[in-house]
Amino acid sequence: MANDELPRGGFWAYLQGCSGTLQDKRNSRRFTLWCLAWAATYVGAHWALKAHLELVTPLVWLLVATPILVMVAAVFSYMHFLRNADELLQKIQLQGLATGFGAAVVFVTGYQLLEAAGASEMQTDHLLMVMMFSWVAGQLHGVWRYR
Amino acid sequence: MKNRLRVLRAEREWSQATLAEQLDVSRQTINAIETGKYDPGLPLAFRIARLFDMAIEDIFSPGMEKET
Repeated sequence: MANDELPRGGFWAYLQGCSGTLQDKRNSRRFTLWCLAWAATYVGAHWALKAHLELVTPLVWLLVATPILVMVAAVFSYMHFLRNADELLQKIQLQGLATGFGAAVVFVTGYQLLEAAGASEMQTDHLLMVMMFSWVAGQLHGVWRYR
Repeated sequence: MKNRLRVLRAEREWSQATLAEQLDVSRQTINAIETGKYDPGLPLAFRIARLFDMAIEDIFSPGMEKET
């Protein structure tokens, strides 16, 4: 009778059923919306600041502050999601966060050695990419582990 | 940790989803507990015991499996 009630359709179909309770899905959706809002405000602000528009100083500050404030809201939204999540989902999320943090430490310390060996300077974008991908990979591993 | 959750659920002819709904957890959590991949925390263990009107130790018992 093991796994007799798992949905058919492979791992991706299984993932659909692993996002926790209805409340978790709601909180997760809210976090996703904040992330999308951050992406939109970040891209917009980045474009406006780089486009050499003649912006007045208050507008420059507004452009800089908006994505930061939206990201802070996204972080609070994630913390709310994590605090209220189903206990197995909490465990999977924490495993993802630990993987992301660990990968960032490995990447930074490793890349510093590469820089000392003559590699080009590290880009913060690359660090963010490493953290994001390893965070997701850690979550997928957790889902697979407790499937 | 060993548990009798699957047997108790089957006796009542509940699906994993039904049990999950009654315990306010995900179906994946129920599946992971039943397959011994995950041991629930105390609050959830108490909720399970209360739902089946049994003592925790009548449902969960120490086993040889290593906790994941």
